[in-house]
Amino acid sequence: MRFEILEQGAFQSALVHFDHGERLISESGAMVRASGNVDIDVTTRAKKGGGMLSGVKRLLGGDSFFLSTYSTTDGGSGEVGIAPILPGEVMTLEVAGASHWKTTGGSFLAAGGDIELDMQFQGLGGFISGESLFFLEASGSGTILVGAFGALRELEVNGELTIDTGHLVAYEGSLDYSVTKAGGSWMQSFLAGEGFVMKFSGQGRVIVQTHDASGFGRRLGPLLPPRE
Amino acid sequence: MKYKIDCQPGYSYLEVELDVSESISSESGAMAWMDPEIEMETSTRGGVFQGLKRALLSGESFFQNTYTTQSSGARVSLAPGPAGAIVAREMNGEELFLQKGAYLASIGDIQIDTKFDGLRGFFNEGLFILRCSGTGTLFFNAYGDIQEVEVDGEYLVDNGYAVAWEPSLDYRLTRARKIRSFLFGDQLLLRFSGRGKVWVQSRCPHAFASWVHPYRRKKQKSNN
Repeated sequence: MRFEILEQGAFQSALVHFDHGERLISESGAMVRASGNVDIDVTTRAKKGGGMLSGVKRLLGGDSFFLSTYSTTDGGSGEVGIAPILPGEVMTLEVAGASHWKTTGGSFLAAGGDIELDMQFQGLGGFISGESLFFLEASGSGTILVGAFGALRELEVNGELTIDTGHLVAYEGSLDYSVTKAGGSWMQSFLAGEGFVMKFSGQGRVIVQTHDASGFGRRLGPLLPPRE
Repeated sequence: MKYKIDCQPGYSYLEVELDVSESISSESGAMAWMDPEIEMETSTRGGVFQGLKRALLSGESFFQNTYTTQSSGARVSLAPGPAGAIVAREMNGEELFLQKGAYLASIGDIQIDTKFDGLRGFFNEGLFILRCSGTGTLFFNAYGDIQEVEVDGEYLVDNGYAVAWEPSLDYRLTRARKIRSFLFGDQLLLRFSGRGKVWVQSRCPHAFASWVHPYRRKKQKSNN
């Protein structure tokens, strides 16, 4: 399976090439195009067990999160184009053995190879911070594709690093984090407009996006007529 | 006539250098900047009926602008509404179908007509698509990058991402298989077959609008 990243800058997308017998999984709305021999199956499960119930839970989790599975039907190779909704960059992350990744629910686009996806709710911290309510843990071996609002940057954590929840895209499973306040006191944190932040510790990589999508949404929403 | 498309693919615009007796037509509102020697004429191009049809049925503008000059080398720049790519297509008596809103400009003798897409169209992004035909250069645009796909056999494109396609391709609307549509929005796919080109955009305005939707304020219920 090969992830080809198309274009530079604001409107990147990926064209994924795969052989017969290989399986590509994507967030269900992310498919732009596919060769005619590709069979699309929409499932609510990412791994054994999950099933319908966890699909519904995903729905309740804020983002309607369903996965589509792609495979070729005619023994040949196929291609699927994958793109995020918002303008921004996309990138691949390699998953192998001990090196696994956790992505925020809204950043995950696709996974190929022998990857198991597990959903993890962030609990209260995620809920209060108003950011994406769940993380996807990708383990096994293969490649995952994530998308950003804005540009993507890779940061190396060696010790500690503080990241605003809205700018997080993915982090390596070797890292731990705690949800905490950005300033010295809660009051200070809120006044600074940085209610909750994530404090990462350990050693590993974090992928961040230059722009906070929900911040953009909150800016845009009040300018539109109210919804019913 | 010389033209160039600059700032591809994110913020493309079209710059045209006109000689005396040359002209370019565009969607109204597309002019970004121009030399003072450029003359702009606004018309319904093809008559009021054509204009109405275009405006009401396909989301294009009622008026079309035509740019001419009496002074060689005058320039006019045209920019589409959404940020994204522009494709220039040489036409030699062929036809090309454009998705609603994708027409930017044309040079030469190119007719833009709306085509009722029958029952298939009911599921389409717009009920009507644009049929462009004639000889000249056609410019179309999209939201995001535009990818050209050479179809030989069958190819699937999500309904919200198809920008243009050649009439040599047959197409029908299908649904992703085994979809449990009561839980989430159907994914509608255009299944192209035959030989020809399809142009696909890398972002979808509809998906973006749906993304913004939850951020809108809720309407307060009035007590009376």
